[in-house]
Amino acid sequence: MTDPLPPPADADDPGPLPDAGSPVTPEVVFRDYAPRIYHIARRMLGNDADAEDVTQDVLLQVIRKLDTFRGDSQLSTWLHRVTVNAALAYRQKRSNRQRRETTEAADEVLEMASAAGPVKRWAVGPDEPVLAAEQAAVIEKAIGELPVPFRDVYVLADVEGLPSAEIAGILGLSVPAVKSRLHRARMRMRDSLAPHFEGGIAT
Amino acid sequence: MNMTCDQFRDLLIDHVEGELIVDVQELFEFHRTRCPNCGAYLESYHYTIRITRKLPGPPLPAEVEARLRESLRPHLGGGD
Ligand SMILES: [Zn+2]
Repeated sequence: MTDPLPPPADADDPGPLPDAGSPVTPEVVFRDYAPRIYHIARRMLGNDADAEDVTQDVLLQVIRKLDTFRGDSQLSTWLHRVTVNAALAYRQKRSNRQRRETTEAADEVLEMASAAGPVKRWAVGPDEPVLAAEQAAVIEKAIGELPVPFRDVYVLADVEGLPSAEIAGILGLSVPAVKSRLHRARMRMRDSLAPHFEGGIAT
Repeated sequence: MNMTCDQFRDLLIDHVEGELIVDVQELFEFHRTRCPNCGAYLESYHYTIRITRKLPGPPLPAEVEARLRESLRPHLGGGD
């Protein structure tokens, strides 16, 4: 797993997160976590304004409970949980209001290319992928088209990089259920991305 | 014992996590080297995971940050 680029150095930047045991201030929480909360919520909800509401609620909750955390990793786990719960609750509220949300059937069938058909090899090298802006847009669009239960798992696992066990805890699913959804979400994503990456037919 | 293409696909998630037991991993590799479709599928499945991981966590949009800071102002003071 690769780390994101560090933020640019800044004269006002108080530096990296304190080590476990040091106090984490509300300002540090805002600076280091608000973008992550916002982007998880935005991808889960598919809506900027809703994501902003959720981010505000989550930050408020986290800041109020800040003194109960002993370190960054514990805070990070809890924060993911609160963010996902807040996004799920928001989605629930929204669907009650609009009564047009897609089904949340846990084992909704995902249309997938059959294993019988020919698979075109992708025109990509063995090196670590480099993400161009147009590819990022294609991937974001494909994520947005995943049915909700699959999108949640995909965002947490493959965008955020959380382990299946942690996702299982957050979503109240078994680990095998998380892996099953994740696998199907990945296959669907693969099919959605295929036209953009394909080269010749595999021979 | 031979593995079918459907069985191969079902094992992909455990394969990329390195969680297949040795015997199954051998069958998996055997199928992969002999079935061009599944070889190509595995590569593209793995690439999908790796490129998704590259999605940027873009910075908070400036106007969103400004509104959030405004609404959280009473809680953000006295930090740092
Ligand atoms: Zn095959």
